[in-house]
Amino acid sequence: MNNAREEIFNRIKSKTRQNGQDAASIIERRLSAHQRGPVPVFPEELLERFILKLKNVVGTVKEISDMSELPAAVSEYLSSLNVEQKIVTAVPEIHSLNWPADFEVNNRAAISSDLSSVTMAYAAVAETGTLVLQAAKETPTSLNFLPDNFICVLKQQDIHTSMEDIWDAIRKDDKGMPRVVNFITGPSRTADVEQTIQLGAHGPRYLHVIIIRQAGSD
Amino acid sequence: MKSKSHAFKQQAADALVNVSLQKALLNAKDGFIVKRKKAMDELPEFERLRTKAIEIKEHTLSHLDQYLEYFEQQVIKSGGTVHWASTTTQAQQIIVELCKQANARTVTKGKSMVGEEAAINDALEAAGFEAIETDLGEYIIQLANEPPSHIIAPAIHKSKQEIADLFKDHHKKYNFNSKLETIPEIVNEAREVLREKFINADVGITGANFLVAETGSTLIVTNEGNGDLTATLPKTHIVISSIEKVVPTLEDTSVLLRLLARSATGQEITSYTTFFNGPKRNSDIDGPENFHVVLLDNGRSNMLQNENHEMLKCIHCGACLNHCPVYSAIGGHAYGWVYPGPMGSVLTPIMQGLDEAKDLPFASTFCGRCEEVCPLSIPLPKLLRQHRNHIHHDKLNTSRSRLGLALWAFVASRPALYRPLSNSFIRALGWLGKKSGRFSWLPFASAWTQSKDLPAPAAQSFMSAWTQQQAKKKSSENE
Repeated sequence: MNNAREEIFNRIKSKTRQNGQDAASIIERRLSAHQRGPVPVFPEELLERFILKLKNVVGTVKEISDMSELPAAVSEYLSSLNVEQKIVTAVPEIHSLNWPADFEVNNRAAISSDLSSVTMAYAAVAETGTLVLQAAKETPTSLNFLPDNFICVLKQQDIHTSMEDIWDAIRKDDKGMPRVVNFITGPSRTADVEQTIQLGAHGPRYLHVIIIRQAGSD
Repeated sequence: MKSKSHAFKQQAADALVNVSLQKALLNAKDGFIVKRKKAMDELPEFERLRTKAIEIKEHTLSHLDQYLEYFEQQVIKSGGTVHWASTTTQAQQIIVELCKQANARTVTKGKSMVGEEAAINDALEAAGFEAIETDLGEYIIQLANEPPSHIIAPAIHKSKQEIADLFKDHHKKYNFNSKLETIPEIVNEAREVLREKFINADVGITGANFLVAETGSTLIVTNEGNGDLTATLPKTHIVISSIEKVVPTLEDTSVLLRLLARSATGQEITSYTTFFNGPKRNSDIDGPENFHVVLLDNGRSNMLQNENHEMLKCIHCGACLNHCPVYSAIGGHAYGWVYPGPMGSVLTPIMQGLDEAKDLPFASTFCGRCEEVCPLSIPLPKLLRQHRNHIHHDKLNTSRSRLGLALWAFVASRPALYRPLSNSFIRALGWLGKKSGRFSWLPFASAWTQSKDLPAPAAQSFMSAWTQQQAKKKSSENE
């Protein structure tokens, strides 16, 4: 192996003037302060803003009032796309639901032949209409990217104002940084052919968010 | 790739008469500018974000070794490994070695400009691996065997027809034979071909837009989702990035992300922004088993203390390219290496040598739009001017231009000589050009008059007009 690490650090150290103890406490303070920069403000309520921004990036939305309504909502969406009544999910809360008899629910990570997936968002960012997903046993990352039709369940109370709120929520969970954190804003797209936007480049062609309204909210 | 920056002048001349390139440039130019402007108009916090972003970058660069060390510790904690490369050759060796360890045959790649800088594809192919770019733009130029012509839109110079022709030639072997006519058809065929590659890849290589010291995260922003498939499906995920990309905290990253997408494509945020933290954990049912980060220096550490340190703040948004009148006229390939436009004209001479790229600092009108739109306010014209100074100092320019500059300096630094000389010169020119108001030919000015007329100057210099006006004022006051 080479000694590039030592060389690089020596070059950097010879060019940045800093006195050991002080510098160490400066960066420690900075790393633990989690100081926020300017965060854009918006006039809308969180749910309204999230839906507005999601629709701007060609996402679609369905609001339901209870998890038990999910199978019907998913089935209806798949019918509207004219695709088979079949999903892959790894969320226990979802595959244990009462699905219709002719509806196929696979409980695993995604494989290439899966057309439609259903998973659960960790949270959402209202500012930009963004879903936040974490890699975990129940929410494997492949579900978010392999299938053509990506259906994501989001609980209304998990919609936050900004990306900075997500960092606070993850710190509050006190489980360290998840292996993958995906911020997803709309379906996959490309503009690499003549600057013309085309959906469904490599990832999902469609993004459908099913929001479970918070009890007591209207 | 090997730099062709020394041939800039010829390449620029060729680009200007390349009809399909000119058509593509025209098509692309306004899109980026209009979309960026719209996004910025909707962001009243822009200037405050810019000020904060500059603070973040300056702070990090002045403690770069500590943040890199902290980042490395966090990557190790999450089960990954950090490899260090002083040179592009070292980066190639490390990546080839990692692919060998993984017993790889197929390697998929997400878009990475540092990967382009280190010519990773060439090294992988020379070592017998199948290396496939998966960003659609990068895939297209890989098939065409060309370098990217834009840092965020690598195939911006290619027309739909040229892409369809490339696919026809290269996709035969996968039994795709239909004639592609529309953009959706082109995108769909690429999706199907590359889907197989994603599934069968043994190693996935992505870049990183930022490295977060606090958590040891590497992150990518994409719209296609190719970077995520590249990172998620193969057994080994290798991240290639460079040392200046580290930022302290997740909050700092959020500030830079708000500026990046808006400056680049006019989006508030790209479709996908993903933070990666090490390999698959015990409970995970997908994800890579091995996670490596390769950090390249390639001259960056030497920039820290000199005048070029400003360039280390660059977040590679491409706004300076989109707003540059020179880039808009000649496209990216004329610049001869991987980084084009104003940022490339600063970086290429640093990384490839001033002698190799001595024409690039002159590929600027110094109009200042690049600095104006740069989300980090990098003084690109100042950095280009410094390159010009060094070129003159190191005698890399022609003896003719040196003589011209010496004569000019001699006269211009002596007001008693300059004023009468310039006065009579301007008077003569003004008189000669009185009739038509312009010159279609002048001695020593053929470079200008070849392509356009030179306007005739006013018959009087500012200084002499000012003196006259002041004298008049005085005499009227005395009356």
